[in-house]
Amino acid sequence: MDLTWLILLAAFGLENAVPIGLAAQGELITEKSGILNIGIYGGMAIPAFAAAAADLAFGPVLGGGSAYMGLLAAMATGAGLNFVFAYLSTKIHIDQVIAGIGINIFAVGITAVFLQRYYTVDGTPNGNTVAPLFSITGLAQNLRISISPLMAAMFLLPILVYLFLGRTKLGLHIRAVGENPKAAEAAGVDVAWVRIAATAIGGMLLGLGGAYLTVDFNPNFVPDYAQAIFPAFIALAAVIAGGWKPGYVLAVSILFGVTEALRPVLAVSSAQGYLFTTLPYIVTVIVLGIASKRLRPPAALALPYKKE
Amino acid sequence: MNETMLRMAGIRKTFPGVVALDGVDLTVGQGEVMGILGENGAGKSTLMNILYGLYTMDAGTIEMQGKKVHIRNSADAIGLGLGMVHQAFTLVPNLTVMENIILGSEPSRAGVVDRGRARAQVLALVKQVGLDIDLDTMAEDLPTGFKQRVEILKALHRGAKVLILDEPTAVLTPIEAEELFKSVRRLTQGGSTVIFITHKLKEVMAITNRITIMRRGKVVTTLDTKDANFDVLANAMVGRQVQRKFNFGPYKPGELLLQVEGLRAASKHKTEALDGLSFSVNAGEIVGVAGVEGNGQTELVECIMGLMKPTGGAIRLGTKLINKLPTSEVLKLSVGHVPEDRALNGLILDFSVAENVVLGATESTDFSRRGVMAPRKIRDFARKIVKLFNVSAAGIDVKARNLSGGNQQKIIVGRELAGQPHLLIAHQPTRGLDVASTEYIQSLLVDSRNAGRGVLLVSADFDEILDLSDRILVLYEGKIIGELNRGAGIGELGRLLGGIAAK
Repeated sequence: MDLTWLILLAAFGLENAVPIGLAAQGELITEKSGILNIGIYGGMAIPAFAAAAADLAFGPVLGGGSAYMGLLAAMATGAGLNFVFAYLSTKIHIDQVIAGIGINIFAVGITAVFLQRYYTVDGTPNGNTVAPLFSITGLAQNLRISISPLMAAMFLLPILVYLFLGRTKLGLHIRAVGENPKAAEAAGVDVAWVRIAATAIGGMLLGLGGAYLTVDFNPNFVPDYAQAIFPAFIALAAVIAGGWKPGYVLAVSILFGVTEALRPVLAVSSAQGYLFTTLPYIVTVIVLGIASKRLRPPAALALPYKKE
Repeated sequence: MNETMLRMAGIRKTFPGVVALDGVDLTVGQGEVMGILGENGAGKSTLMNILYGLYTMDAGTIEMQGKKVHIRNSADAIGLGLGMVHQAFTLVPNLTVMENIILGSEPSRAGVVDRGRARAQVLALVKQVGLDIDLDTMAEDLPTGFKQRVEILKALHRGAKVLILDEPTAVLTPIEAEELFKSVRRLTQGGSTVIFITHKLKEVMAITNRITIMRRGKVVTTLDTKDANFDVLANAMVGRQVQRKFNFGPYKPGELLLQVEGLRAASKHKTEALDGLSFSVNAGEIVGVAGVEGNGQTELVECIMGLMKPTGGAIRLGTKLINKLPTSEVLKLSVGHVPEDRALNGLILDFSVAENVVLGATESTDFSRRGVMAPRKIRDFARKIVKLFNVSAAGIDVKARNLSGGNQQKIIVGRELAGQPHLLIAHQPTRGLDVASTEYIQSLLVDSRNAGRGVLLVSADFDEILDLSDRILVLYEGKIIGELNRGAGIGELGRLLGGIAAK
């Protein structure tokens, strides 16, 4: 039996999973602190653009290494953007959902403006991409599977996130303010700043997920960056379906990535193709439906906290 | 008394419209257990919240070991060696016992929690106080008594020398309470000072060295526990303001309206909230259920109203068993209900007066037809209620939120009485109201009784109970531990409230 399609499914599925998996770990840290970042699309799209722009800007100086400048720029942008979002919702007390939606809409607008001003409207020129760590050949004819450092990061991150939340002081404070902010405050923890920190750290990972799309998976940024919409909101779902546990969240991210790869791999004809295109969404709904009955979200998730 | 640890002098605190503390003095000696005794609203918790920096006082001074201190927030209080265990616990449910104890004062190195050192510190504390507990259990899985142990350990881990326990036994079983007393004794032997807030006479006699009794924001007296007895304490705790006069008609109880037999119910903490209580209410009488809050009042009313399922016993309206009826059916059996928390269960604050007046009555064909509301009829009815019950509101389209507490309560009582129910259940009907509104609402209850209806009045305001009730049932830990008739002495009520059954 020809297993090529299985290998392809795994390869494409893992590629698809990278932006989901990275962003989901970031969103997980943020949600653990009690902040629900609906602005996750903006948190990926704007850094994705920043990554492409930095990549192009440093290309003449650094050559292929400029892609890494893209990653740094994306993490910085993601952290900065989320910092603003968290500041608005914790200090200025703007509703989290409204602020998040605002950031998503802002992302669509701001990237379009910059594309028009500095690049062609169709998108940025192709820049450098992150060099693969290693490649695997010979599994199937002519197939060359490249393993990106970001894919390695996707597998490594859950362990780091687990240790961060479980073993560090900040991690303990994040879990406390997401569960019972009043108790944390009484214990001398500054709820607002812990939430801002958790959201900014989450933003770094959202940015990294966004950058994967423009300096790794693809070499450019195209307008109305629809490519980020799927991973962004699926990442939001993956955090829930994974029960706010880093390892499970990774597993669900991969499941969603593989589902997304079904259609291209099976080369389904166009008529049935539309059905297959909806498959990831259907799987998401089913997984969420099954999971939501047994899940226990952070008790203070999406609840604003105001000091008395 | 030993060397003075803490002195509070001339403490005054007002909340809008209420003087909560009026020149309170309190002196606590080093290494002693100081009891603060008083009924609801006496000011015990307010005083402690000031000491712990949660409220700012309007006037007064606080000294610790002879030095004047300024406590602006709980961080200041903690820094001065004060620790407080609140009635409602402040644990983070999904953190372990150890994580909860060290939260906010974690031993750490480069941002990483030093778990070994933390464990050693906490274990040493556990041993010192004799409060045995598994450090790796999630806080949410702990029984209530153990949650309290965590709170105590948490306070001690931050170096508390003075431990404030706010009604610590309210949530404990008798055995757990006994263990708490043991550790309190160990703590004071080790040099700690404990302030023990309670309304239970037995406890204050059993555990304290000295007792300060508070009533209505003032200190009534401070005495050594060895000089105290139940009668002295009960009289000092309850006291009495000027008796209000109402127009009571002759007491002629009529037909049986409500009969409760052997009622049992579990509380949220899964302990027994109602422990097999029985009583009845007849037409033409006001039956007062007295008790310090948290002794089963809420569960009793919720069981009758179908808001909570009893675990045993029977509730009958007339002869009809209503144990399993939903609230909507109970209401149809001519029952009016003035809920405990008017803002939470009585009104929808962002709805208009008119909408609130027909809340729960919209099924009536007077106000709607085939699901479509009849605005004119509703508005006419609302105007009638507003007029009849002296609600002062700028109009019937004003949001309920913008009315004073007294006027909000008049809307609820008016709405409930408009249906001329045979039985009215009034739960804390005058809590937080000004004097005029209180008297008006109380007079409505008396009028209902004179008109031959039955009233079940559940209240923690003992003046209200004594003024209005034809019969008084005293609820203590889910049981009726005594029944008094009109004209009973306050000493007797005080003893029962403090859990001392009749001689």
